[in-house]
Amino acid sequence: MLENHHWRRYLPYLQAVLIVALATCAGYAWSLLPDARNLSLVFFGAILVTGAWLGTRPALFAAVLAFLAYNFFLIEPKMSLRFAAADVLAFVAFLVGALLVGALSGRLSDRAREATHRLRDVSVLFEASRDLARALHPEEAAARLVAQIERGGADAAVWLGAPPRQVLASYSKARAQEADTLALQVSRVLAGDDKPGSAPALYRLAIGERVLGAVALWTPTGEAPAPRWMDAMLELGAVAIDRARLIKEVAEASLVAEKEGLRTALLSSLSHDLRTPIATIVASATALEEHDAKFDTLTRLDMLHTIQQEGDRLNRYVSNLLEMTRLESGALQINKVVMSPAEAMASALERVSGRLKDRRVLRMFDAAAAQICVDPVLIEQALINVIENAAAYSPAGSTILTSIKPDRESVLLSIEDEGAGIPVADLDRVFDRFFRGRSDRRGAGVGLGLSVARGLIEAFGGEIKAVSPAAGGKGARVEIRLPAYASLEEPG
Amino acid sequence: MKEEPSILIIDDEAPILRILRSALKADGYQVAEASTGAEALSLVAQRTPDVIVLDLGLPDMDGKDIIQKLREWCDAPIVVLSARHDETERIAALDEGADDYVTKPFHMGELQARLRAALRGRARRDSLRHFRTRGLEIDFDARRVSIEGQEVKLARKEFDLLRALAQHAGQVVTHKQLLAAGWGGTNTDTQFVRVYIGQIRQKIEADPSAPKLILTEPGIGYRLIEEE
Repeated sequence: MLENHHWRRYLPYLQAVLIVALATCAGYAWSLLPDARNLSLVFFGAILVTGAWLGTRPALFAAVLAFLAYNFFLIEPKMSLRFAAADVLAFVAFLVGALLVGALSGRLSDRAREATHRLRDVSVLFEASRDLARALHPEEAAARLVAQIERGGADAAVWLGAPPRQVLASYSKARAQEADTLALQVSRVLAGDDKPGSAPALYRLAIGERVLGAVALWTPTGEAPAPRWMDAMLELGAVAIDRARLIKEVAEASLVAEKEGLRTALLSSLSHDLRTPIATIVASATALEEHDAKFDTLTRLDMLHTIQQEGDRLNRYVSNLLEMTRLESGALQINKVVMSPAEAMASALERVSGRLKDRRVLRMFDAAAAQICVDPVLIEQALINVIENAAAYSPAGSTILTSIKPDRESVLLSIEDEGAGIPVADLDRVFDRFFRGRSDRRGAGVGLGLSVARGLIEAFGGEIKAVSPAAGGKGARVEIRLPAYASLEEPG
Repeated sequence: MKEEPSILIIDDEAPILRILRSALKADGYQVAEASTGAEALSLVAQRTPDVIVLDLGLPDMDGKDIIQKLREWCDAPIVVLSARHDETERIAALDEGADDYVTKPFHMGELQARLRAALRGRARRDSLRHFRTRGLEIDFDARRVSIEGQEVKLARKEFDLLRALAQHAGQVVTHKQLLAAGWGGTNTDTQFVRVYIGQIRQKIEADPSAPKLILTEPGIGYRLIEEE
């Protein structure tokens, strides 16, 4: 790479030699003609060509060469260098021509070259900015910045953070060891004590007054001036790192907020929904203990019934909390078997029948529905939760419609109530943890039922969603879609 | 049934033990208690109870091991108490020789019904010729089944399964036990048990989508309702 570079530097002079050689050949051939005159014009032309094509220095070089060749080959006596006073004029003319044309063409070609470079710089920077913008973490932005600088032909290392705790975030592989030794200098640069140094050049990455980190730069030739696009590149890098830092902060903040919200919801749910049944049980039990003689049989039975009901309720809350925890921690053990969806639904309805006494329960089970592959205990739990939710949010005496039907490659189980329904905005949120409908709170649980149901159904590869209003123009329908499972062939 | 059947309650939780003691005494049982597996085994060695209630979550021994040890020289029916979520543990207990289970928290009436079924079951199982519950009648020798006096045609396997359920009426019958009853082994997929139970329900249940005779015990098996 380095040798190649040197060689390239001398190429114009070689080309100048070739041009002068050609001119010499042409001039020599011309001089053999009988009436040859103004042979110097051939060389002058060669100098102009060199100047226009290769710039001032090669042109001056060509001028000297041309003068020597002209004198040696074409001026009598040929094949010898002998200077006469008149030759000085030709020499001066050659030089002046070379200077003028060289300067003119140099300016032109400089401009053209500059335009090309600028175009390349712009496209390099454009690429870099697109690439850098993809970074979601500051470290990733640093790595991308190093990669972009490497694409530009230089090596780099990037530190992030404020001194003295800046961290070497990314570096070119070839500079790993060097980068390690730079900590002290980087600290000083970051602290603003030191001017951006050289070998390697150290720069601060900053947005306005805010310092984000530092960059060390190794240019290929070891020369101090960095590529022209470097300033802009560092600017882009700083923006990308800052942006990634903000993204990360926002993500962390929302995570904290979510956890915080969950904890608050859990605490409020524990304090209210678990305490209410406990309080009722304790109150009833102590009342029975202390005033037993004063109560008539009916009152006593009512209190006992209350204790039992509240105990059951407490048990349901705790079961769902437990299920939720298992679902979220991945500790839930799932034993899938192939079973009929009707059996699952019937078994769930049977288990909640005590709480559905004042509801009309309709069953529309299509016998054509395929088998499903689920955990029989957990599917029952999921269905119970949905059914209880329907009961909790619909008035006594209303109808709960359960149905099972085939639907292409799946089985659709649905539970429909005649309650107040679910506002459109809440259709998805009803499956969130601790979400509770605003309307009738009577009998509603901790807001875990549907969330647990969703977790379980999804664990079986199914989907659950809420539709409201349901078919009758009121109430809500929860639809559970589970993959259909082909029946086995019976042996013997 | 002889009067004052003896019962051994094995549970390490004092409040549960206390309630069970009172309730079962009131129900006419002679109650013995143990709060560890070791204690239970030594008690059973001294005197075999008529029925045993065993909590699966004992501190000193695994529930399955206790059942295994008990079954070495005691064939008193065992009703297991277990948490709702541990159906694998429950199945294991039933496989080891437990007769039935009740999930905690349980209603006292439920436990009492299970205990009665367990006490009745043993004596009845082999001598049973005829069974009747809620309009369902089964004549074992004639292999005849009728609902509200109307005869129902059952296929051979359907009858075998129904007979197994009836012999354990009021008690859970596991998928495995039903496989053994219908197919003579346990190499078949339990899916067929489900399919056949579905067919039986179609024939004997008033509303097959809301079964009242054969109840599902999710993940474990089935239970034929018993008329007491």
